[in-house]
Amino acid sequence: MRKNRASVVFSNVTKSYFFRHEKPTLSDFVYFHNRKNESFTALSSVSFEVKQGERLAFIGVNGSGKTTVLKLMAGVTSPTSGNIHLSGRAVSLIDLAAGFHPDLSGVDNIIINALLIGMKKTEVKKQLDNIISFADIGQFIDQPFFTYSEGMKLRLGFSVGVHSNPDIFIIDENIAAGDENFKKKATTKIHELFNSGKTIILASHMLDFIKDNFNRVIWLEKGKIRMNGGVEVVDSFIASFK
Amino acid sequence: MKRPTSYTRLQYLRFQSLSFLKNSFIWLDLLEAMTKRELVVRYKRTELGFIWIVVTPIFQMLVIGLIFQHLLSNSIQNYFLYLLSGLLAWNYFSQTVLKNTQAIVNERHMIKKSRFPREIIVISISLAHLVHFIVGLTLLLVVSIVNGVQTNIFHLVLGIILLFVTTIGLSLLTSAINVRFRDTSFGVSILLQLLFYSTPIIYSNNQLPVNIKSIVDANPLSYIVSFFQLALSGNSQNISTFNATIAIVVSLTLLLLGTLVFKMKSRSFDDWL
Repeated sequence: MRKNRASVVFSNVTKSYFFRHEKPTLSDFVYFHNRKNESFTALSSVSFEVKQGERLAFIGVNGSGKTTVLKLMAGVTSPTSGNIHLSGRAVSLIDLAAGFHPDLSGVDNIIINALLIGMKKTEVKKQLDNIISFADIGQFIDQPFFTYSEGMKLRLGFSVGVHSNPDIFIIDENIAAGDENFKKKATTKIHELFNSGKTIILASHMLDFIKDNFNRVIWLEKGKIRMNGGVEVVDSFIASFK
Repeated sequence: MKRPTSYTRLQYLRFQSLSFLKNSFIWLDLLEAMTKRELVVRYKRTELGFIWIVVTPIFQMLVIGLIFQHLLSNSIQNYFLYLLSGLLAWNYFSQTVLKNTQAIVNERHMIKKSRFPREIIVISISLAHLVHFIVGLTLLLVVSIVNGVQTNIFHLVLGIILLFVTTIGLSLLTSAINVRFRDTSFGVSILLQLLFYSTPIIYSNNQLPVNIKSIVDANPLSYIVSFFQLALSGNSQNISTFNATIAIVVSLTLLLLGTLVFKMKSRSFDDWL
């Protein structure tokens, strides 16, 4: 019923980064202020719209601006110019192991992490058991985070993310983390999300996966939109290499 | 490089200020959890745990009571209490500002995780340290009452509020600048040393020659610290209404400036981490 409402709107979004071979110090800033102002434009004047419930994938070679788009959408950074409008809460499943404290137990970390991505305390309480059982890391859930293996960290992060019930999911291709067993579970969960009518945004090189599961594709090239359409964009992208 | 138009900037700020109140309620849960985390993590891998909150100030009292007050014996009444009340307030201020200056850089993994008001990092550290501070103050209050000092809770509360506002204001400023200029943390530790000696903590401004006294009185912390000294040891600094007004204005300006700079800089923290 709310199918036609816009979920994400980018209008003329530009993002530039300063080139820095080293972090600037105050004296560099004061003395060499006007000397060089090198910047790198990761995205230039990008505009697009995503409707509620659409599944949009970004494709493009490395350095084409895919990650920057996702970062801007997740609100981790802000555009240099232009406007971004999101309706609803966006959760990114990109840096899964981020935001955990090494000295806290798995449970304590789940709570902080869930609040960090915008869940309310009541929601966290309700979902806590589901998050723990989905992560499936056994007794380690009461151990400090620094004792975890890399796989366990990712599983915990993934579990918090998928249980946070956002309106917009932002994912990249590393989502199916962990061993075969967990990969299977994660894939099932992701397909569940795909069918839940939520807006899904993906940046990936897995072209077959995109053709099977997505209905919108944007091809980025050097920070600009080369093509914006349906899955046929993937074919044009592949054709460009031949 | 295309510069942002002033229109989009203004629009962003307006959006921020309008939704600020509504947003802060949503993020109160996170603030609470982060403050608890800050408190818990400090004692997480200790055997004594939270007992350290009490042990640390008691030990400080003993050292000062047994040694320092005789070394620096002078004309100040209840010197032991005077020294401790000033030191407690100073320790809160300097430790919080120092920790906060590095906080955004230290918590970069959180910044990269999601959009949340970055102020929460600074405020949660200030609140967690405030808990320690208030425990110390309560212990000292008991000692003061036992020593027959006419304690004054009103002045104590006023002092806490002023000190908290100043600490948060300066912390927001230094933590935001430190993201881009890592020199800030070095500058802050020098500034704190200078401030310590220009605040009447181990001495009283009544003992100073006129020209030095005017410098010390210009330091807003002198006024704030004097609330604690007055409330807990009965000693009052000789501070004019003019200097008191300046101190309050400086505190509020610092809070306003810190908030504004932090709000503007926090949009692009991720680009520098």
